[in-house]
Amino acid sequence: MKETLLLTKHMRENPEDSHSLKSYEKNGGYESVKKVLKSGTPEEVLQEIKDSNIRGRGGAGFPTGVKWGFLAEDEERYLVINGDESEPGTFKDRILLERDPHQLIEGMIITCFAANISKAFIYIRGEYAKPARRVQSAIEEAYEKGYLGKNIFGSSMNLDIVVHLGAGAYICGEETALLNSLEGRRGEPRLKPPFFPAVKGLYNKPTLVNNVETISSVPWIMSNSGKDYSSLGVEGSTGTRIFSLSGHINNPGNYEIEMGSSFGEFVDTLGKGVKNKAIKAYIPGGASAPWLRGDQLDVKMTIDDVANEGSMLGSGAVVMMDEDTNLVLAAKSLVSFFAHESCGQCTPCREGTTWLENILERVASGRGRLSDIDLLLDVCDNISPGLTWPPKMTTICPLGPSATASIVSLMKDFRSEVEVLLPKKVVIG
Amino acid sequence: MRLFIQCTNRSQQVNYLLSVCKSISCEISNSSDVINSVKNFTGLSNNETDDENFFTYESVECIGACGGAPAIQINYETVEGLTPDKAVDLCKWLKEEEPEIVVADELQDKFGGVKSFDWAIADNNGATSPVPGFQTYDTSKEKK
Repeated sequence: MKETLLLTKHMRENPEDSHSLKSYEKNGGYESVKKVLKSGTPEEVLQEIKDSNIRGRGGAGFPTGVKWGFLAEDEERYLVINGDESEPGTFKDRILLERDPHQLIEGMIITCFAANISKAFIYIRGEYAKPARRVQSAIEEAYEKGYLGKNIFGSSMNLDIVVHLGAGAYICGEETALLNSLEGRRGEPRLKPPFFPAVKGLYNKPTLVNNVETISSVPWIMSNSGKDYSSLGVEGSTGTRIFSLSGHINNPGNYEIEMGSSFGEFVDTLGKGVKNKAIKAYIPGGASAPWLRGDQLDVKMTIDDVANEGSMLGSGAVVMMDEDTNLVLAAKSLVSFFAHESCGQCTPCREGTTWLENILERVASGRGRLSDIDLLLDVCDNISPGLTWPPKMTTICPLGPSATASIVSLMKDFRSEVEVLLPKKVVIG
Repeated sequence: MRLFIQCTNRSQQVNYLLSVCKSISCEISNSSDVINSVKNFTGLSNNETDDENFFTYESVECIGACGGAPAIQINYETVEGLTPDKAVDLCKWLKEEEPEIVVADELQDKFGGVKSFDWAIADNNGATSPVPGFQTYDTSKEKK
């Protein structure tokens, strides 16, 4: 199994200066945007994106071409790049922002051309200070050269890009919460309807919100073609994807591969195997995704295959846990994360995640009660009725229901690990 | 859930903010040992500042350095692949050197280990205060 390098090709081949405009241009950068602005039409760009069948790389996997098509007509529209990558296990946007910011900027110019947008924002999480600095200096370079601002590349197109740094809240990765945060409000998700970003987004104007990786793919698609892109990967999960591999693994890192091979193959070849041990469980798509068992390593890495197993490919964060892992502590770590990051708008999430954290804390420390397993599942059921995947929602955004995923996996597949921590049943008489 | 008032930073401005990650990838890579060693060295518990306003310690959720777990941020500059001993060395070094600008690449060379990915070219930019920000502070220019 080998990597297929589309997005990470430039940074691999030019490690010493891949983030500079000079290096990017020398290696064919800004060629596709020049081509598009000179002889393309917005309709053609949209058609190429639709042909590529690329699906959003942020987590939900919504087809990008369809999303662009939804954008309502208005005299002012915005593009917002979601770089608030905070899903535990994910660090793919970090490499794209830090090592190849010009690729993102080129993708943004093409996107804005296709959607007739003249103001764009890049929202980067507060912890990514170094990537944000790199993006900011890349934008300054582009302005100096006249690649941004008024009459880009001598055409009639105008575009301004603003970098906005978040303050480190996971919830701001949810698109409507991100827009609130960008407007200077509290980062709380908005109710859909009516606040679909494509209709009522930033400042109540139609807004495109796309992930860093999605927009970074656009220059490649335009310099080749949508059909070329869709010929990679498998149907329903076309193109390449950057997977962030971490956990008990010999060779962690970001790997760009075509979707369609199995997790086991991925871990053994590119990850160079798990450290001396067998795999007990793994997370296929970030903290929100239900776990898969170690004997499910032959699952194919596509959006649909992982969904069929009752989990999701999400943000592409693969976390391996070997046989010595204390899964109760792992679940507690995940639940604490959601309890900490809940914005507090909806009661089931605000109260439920805190209760889950408290109960799991006492179970992990050996002070659990016999009834705690049922209690945990009952609280989960109140956040997400039926405990199905994809989860039923009782909240505005999927954060609360996601918090139940790790507990449900723990109880379903690794119940004995919880039971040994609980007191024995005492029968009197 | 955090109340708004809990999220505002009410402590005095400190020199160095130590943020050790405790999320899943770091947790299963024994970040709790790093947390304990940093806590022991500084004598601080979570969200506490020492008397000289030198260190503030906090355990934080994912900082996007999962491939190089366990990881720490000093004034939002990431250092990856720590061990408990290296974390203490790092704190000692900060105490002795008191660098005006915290540069991630410099700290990574001195105290870091496995990285999430190849950082490639060394960066001279860093942070001058424990505030997330993206102003460019180029140390190489100042040295001239």
